[in-house]
Amino acid sequence: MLYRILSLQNITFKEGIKDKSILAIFFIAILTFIAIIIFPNLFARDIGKVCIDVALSSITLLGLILIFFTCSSILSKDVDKKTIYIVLARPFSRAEYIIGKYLGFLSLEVFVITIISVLSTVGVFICYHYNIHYFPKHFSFYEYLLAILMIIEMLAILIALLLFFSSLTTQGFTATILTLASYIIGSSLNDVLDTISNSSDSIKINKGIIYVINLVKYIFPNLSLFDFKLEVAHGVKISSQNITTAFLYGIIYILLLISLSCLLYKRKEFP
Amino acid sequence: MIQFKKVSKTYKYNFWDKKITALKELTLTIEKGEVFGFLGPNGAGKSTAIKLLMDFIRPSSGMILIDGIDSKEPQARRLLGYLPENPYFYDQLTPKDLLSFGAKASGVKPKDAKKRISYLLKKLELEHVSKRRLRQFSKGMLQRVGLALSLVHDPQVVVLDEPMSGLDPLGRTLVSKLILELKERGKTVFFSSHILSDIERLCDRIAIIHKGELRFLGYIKNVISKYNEQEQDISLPPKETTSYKRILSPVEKLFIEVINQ
Ligand SMILES: Nc1ncnc2c1ncn2[C@@H]1O[C@H](COP(=O)(O)OP(=O)(O)OP(=O)(O)O)[C@@H](O)[C@H]1O
Ligand SMILES: [Mg+2]
Repeated sequence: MLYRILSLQNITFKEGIKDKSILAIFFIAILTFIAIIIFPNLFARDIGKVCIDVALSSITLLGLILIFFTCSSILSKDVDKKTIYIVLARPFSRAEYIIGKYLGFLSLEVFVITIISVLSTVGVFICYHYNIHYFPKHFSFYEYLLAILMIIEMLAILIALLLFFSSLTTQGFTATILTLASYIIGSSLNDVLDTISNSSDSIKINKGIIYVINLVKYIFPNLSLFDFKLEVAHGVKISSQNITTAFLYGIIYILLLISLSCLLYKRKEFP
Repeated sequence: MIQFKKVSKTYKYNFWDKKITALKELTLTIEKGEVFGFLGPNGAGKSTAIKLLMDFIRPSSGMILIDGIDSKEPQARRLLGYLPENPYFYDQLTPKDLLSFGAKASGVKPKDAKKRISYLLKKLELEHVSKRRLRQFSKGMLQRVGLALSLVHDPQVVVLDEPMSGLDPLGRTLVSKLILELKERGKTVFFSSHILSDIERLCDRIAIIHKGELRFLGYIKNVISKYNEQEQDISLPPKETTSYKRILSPVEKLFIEVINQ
């Protein structure tokens, strides 16, 4: 069972890493590396903030590009062009397919993000070295790396979502759109909910609605939980409670999505 | 080796679409070690039957056994090698990558896999392109890669959906040889094809389906002797008979007769 899953993980990774979009991603990564070194100097006092913000945002953005271009095109091909036949013609169970595919995308994501992170961390480090006085007092590379790890976990949720939606739809494209929609909802969820609950002082919102809001908060992937850009950029200590909550929430969310996808794929047909 | 037991399949793409019955209570047994040809006009349900066998789609009723194992079990596919109708693979990979995936996923030992892969690449004349990405391959080359992939784990049963399509004349001869070799080695071959001369040459037994129903099942040698004896003139369906006339082979005569029933 394990060697089957790993063989699928392996070709998924290979297929992904040789894709043209990877070249584009690394190209953008190098551009941002240069930007991190040069660009913040224009902002005098805020050099540190801008530098960290650019680094973390670009990691997120490139991770998203990887998911929405590379991973989703591979998955679409599986469903639309039936490349899935070469997998399912082997003794794979549908669950093994899902897990192998997930691990393939995940390893691709981790690999690419690691390379980009090394690049951007070097960039930030250089920037830090020359402008140490303009960096937040309590800036720490440890927390910076922690923020990157949380970005990776957020992307891991998105991959699980992509697989989950592909189990519901018959077209790869629909799955991509649904994942994109959940990303947009998921990352603005906290802001929207905050606005609503803050306004509850002036306008009376009934308890039912608040209950629904809380429910929505957990059902939709609450991706803003994983965003620690602000803290790191301002040198505010990341609360360990926030990290733990986000980490566990992410793991549970991924496990749930993968299990659901396994169940749905079991019944799925590929005519 | 393969048993279809009253297998029916209705497709329903969307809930407002009309149902299409692609297969009606197909009952069919393919014996161990035989080369079995699966014929029928376009849209007859051949690929549907094969996809059901591979568990890509599920029967609306009935069941399929492979060596006594329900086709729904992943275990059943341990014995099978499969060539899809329109082979399309991950296009950034090389034939080598793909074949070693196939071998690994089917539990072939790495050492054996290496030997087997280079043997098959040679056999199917793909050696010179074994390190090129599949996206640069022509249709016939992909077909060859697909054939190699279906054979990489040396399966007991080989299921080929139109193995000759897209191949050049030499390629077709190659595939014919390959099928005969498999037969000699006691493997079971189940394949669909529109090329009746190949069917006549290769198969022990054939089935003809039309509109999802089994219309004929029998030994090829009986067909040949029957239609060679009777010199009755079965012509093409009326609308297609223009000035075009030629001598039909026994299987062609049978095919036309069965379809016109
Ligand atoms: N995905 C699908 N959705 C709906 N109907 C389908 C689907 N695939 C096939 N059909 C229908 O099922 C019937 C049988 O199709 P099938 O592909 O099995 O034919 P075939 O015998 O393989 O034909 P060909 O010789 O052209 O390959 C056809 O009427 C076709 O319209
Ligand atoms: Mg077909």
